[in-house]
Amino acid sequence: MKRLLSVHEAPILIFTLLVIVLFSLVTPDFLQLDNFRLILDQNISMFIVAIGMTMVILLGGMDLSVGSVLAVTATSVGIFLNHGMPPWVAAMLGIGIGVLCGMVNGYFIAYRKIPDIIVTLATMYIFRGIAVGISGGTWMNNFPPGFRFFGQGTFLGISFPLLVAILLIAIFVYLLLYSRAGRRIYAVGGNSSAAKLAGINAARTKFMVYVFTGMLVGIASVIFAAKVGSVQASTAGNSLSFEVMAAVLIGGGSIFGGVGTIAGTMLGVLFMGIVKNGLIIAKVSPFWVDAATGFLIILAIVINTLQRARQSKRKDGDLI
Amino acid sequence: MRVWIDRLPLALRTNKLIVQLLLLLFILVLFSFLSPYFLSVTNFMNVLNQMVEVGLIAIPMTLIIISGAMDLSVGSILAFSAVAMGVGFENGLNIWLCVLIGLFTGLVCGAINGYLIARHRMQAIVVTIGMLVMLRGLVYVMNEGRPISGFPDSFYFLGQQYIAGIPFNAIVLVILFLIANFFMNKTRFGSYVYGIGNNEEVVRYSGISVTRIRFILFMLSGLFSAIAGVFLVSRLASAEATSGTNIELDVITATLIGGTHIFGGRGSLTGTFVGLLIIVFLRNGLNLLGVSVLYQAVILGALLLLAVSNKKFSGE
Amino acid sequence: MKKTTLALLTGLLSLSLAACGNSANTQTGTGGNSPASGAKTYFINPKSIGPAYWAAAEKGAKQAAEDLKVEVVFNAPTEADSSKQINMIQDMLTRKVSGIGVSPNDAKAVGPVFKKAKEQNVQIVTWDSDAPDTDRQYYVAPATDEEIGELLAQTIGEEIGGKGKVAFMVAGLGSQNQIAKSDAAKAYFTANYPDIELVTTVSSDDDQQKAYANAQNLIQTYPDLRGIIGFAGGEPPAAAEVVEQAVNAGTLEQGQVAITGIAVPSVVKNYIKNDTMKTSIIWDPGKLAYTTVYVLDQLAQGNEIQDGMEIPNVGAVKVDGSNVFIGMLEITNENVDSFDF
Repeated sequence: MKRLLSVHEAPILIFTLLVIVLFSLVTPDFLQLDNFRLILDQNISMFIVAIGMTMVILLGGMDLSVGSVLAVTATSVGIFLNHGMPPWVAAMLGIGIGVLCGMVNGYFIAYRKIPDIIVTLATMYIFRGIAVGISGGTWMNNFPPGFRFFGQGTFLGISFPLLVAILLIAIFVYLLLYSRAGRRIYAVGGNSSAAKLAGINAARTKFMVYVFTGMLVGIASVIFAAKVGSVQASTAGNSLSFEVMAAVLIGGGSIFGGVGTIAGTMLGVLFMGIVKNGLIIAKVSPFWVDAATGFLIILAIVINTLQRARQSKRKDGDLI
Repeated sequence: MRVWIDRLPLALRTNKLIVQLLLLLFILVLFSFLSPYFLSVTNFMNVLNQMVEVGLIAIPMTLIIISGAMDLSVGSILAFSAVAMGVGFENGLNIWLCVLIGLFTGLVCGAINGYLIARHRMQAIVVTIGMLVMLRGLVYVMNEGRPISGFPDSFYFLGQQYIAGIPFNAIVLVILFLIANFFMNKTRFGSYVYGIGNNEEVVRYSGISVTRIRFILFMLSGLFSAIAGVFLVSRLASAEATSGTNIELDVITATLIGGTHIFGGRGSLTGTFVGLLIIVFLRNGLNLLGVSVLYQAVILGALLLLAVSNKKFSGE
Repeated sequence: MKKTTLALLTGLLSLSLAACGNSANTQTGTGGNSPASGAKTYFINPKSIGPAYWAAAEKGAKQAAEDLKVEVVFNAPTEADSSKQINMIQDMLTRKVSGIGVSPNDAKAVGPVFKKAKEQNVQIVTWDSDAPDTDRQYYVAPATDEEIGELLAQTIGEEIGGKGKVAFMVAGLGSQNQIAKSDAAKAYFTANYPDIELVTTVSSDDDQQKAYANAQNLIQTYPDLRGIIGFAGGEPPAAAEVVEQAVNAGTLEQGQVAITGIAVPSVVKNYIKNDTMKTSIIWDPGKLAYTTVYVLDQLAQGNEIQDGMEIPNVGAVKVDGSNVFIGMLEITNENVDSFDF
């Protein structure tokens, strides 16, 4: 069964290529190296957060709080910087706060055994409140030039955030495919009672995944703050959780857990990014952009599902 | 203790309800002490008037969550049907005909959800996220996002009129809750919904069309979202493109505080109703005290965690 | 037994939470000073809580509370949502406030609740965004939406020499004050700068990252774009950040894309100093809120609102019918450091 996984990415890959061809036919401005770089650049934080979300969804859970965690970490990084901390220290502390948020989620989910969606719905409210509270309602901005490197700098001619994203993707692909910890995630998500019989500590695996997710959101938020140049606590990352979740599921992940790959998810993020960029480049009326985006999301999932409609069987007690 | 609980599931459910009722009572007493304005008929009627839209959508949402799925598109369906109604009215149609158009629009949206999710077994969350984005976009396409108003006075009856001191829309809400509760507890339809949430295979093997039940649930969700849209337009005297944004979070929060289990199979409409009262009175009380919305969000989140971890102890 | 204990525990915790919230509120409400007993309470209601613009307004409202010895409650939902806003106004009417200052998310939807307020003899003033044809008594604003839109159009027109492609960035496609301002700017172009072409209007839905991505897509889509007008506080800084980055990367020439818009000086200070943005149009949101409280207080005392009336800390205001205008500010390189908001 697991070997069939590679096939799961095929439909979305074909569909993405189709969309690319479509946009290229509509406007010559779309199929350009510059534009492709722009799409990657715009979606860096999505890519990074999506790695964590893939692992969460592999476990059969979901994390609604990523947007609020992003707001908390980005805001605190802003505060640290405004207090004159060196950029590296502020960034590291920010990532630490992301890890802390992940630990809060992980504790309630793994050890108190409260369903993921409830915990993250609650922490979504709580972290957002904290973010706006510590920001005092003002924007975080006027970051020092040294900090901007994290979002805009280049290293060996390649954009620094892109490099970070590629590195993280490589590490987590390796971890998921070849490390014990990674295989445990598939095992717990695929069949948690069997995993328990095999002696896997499901709670610890879950906790670890949420901590990793928190860390990844922390990294994403540093890049986000450095790139956009300002942080508004009340709106930063507002629609992030839904968008990332949609990307994971478009990329072949299953909300029932146990199915999905990081490669697929990255395709999903890329697909969403291409759609959003392409519709504007193609000069579609602004009123139609959202409508068309939603339609393409549904279409992607239709194509995805058609291919494996027959094989996917619902597991007991799980959530659609 | 454990054996006793296992043997009497009904008593268990009632006990959960008691915990929620105690919490509600506690909130009522607390705010009565903290704010002199809280304990008054006007305030209570206000709160009832305000909770109607969330409450209406919470009915089908409870059923859908009990059946083990979820509908995130309700807010967009609400706005879409509200604006469809408004556009019809702007084109000179009779207002009640427009209401029918709005309801029909909601029903169609629900049917699309249902068709994709029930018939083609797609993941409800993704399909409804897609619908959430798409319908919200279509709302802007329909009328370029401009609010529509100027409805006749007879239409405002739905959302603004009081009968014997009680808001008309709250009466409708309670009646719909009672009807839905009757269906869930006394008809086979109700037991199928619980059955699907507990073990879909068993329901299927007993010769019942799971597809049809799911389809009906999502249609209901579309219809009730549209009803909520109609009542919202009537209450606010304006059909807006932004109405219903994030309402799904309020609805799901109320349902979960009301004790419905997120993985399906367990839950009750009575619980949802109490959960609804808890969040609206909490919000109203905090508003009366002038507590900033930031703290309100934190308090709501903490309450959600508490209510659920509490249930973990008693329920399992 | 266990359950009762737990219920009690839950209750106790929410009590303590509510209590923290409450004590925090006392501070917000009165700015630390407890008002004299029997003081009037006013509810000042912005569109939402969070943006820097409203935070600056809150400071002004608190200042007014202190100066006029009244109590001010400054609160709104976290998102600019009309139905949540109206629920909150209803709740405050129950609290029997003496006056409400509302910046309505939907001009029509506040009609019924204003009517109810009038029946209860509550003073009603709209600020920042108007609700004409309702029971509101006065509208406090920097200027009319038309004037603001025209000034923005004029600024950009002058900067680019009256010729070229211009794009609009708004916070919401459905928001009345955004529509009024952008329509006025569009009309101004048609009348005065026929050679300026408005290529598109993009909306950020008040999401910063989306505003940023929108600006990136704009300069990608329209390589010959000459100007961007941002109609809400979040749009000009996003546009300026993107243009500055493009200039640094060498894909755009300095000064190729002119940016103007409504922006708080502290947010766009850096962009104005390095010439990415030449002019920002703003008014002091704190003074706007201050004036709102002042007007409410005058109304509650039964005083008339007169043209040229001197308001402490704000100055003379222009009163035109039921509109109170406090005037706009143009922020440029010369004066950007002189603002404290």
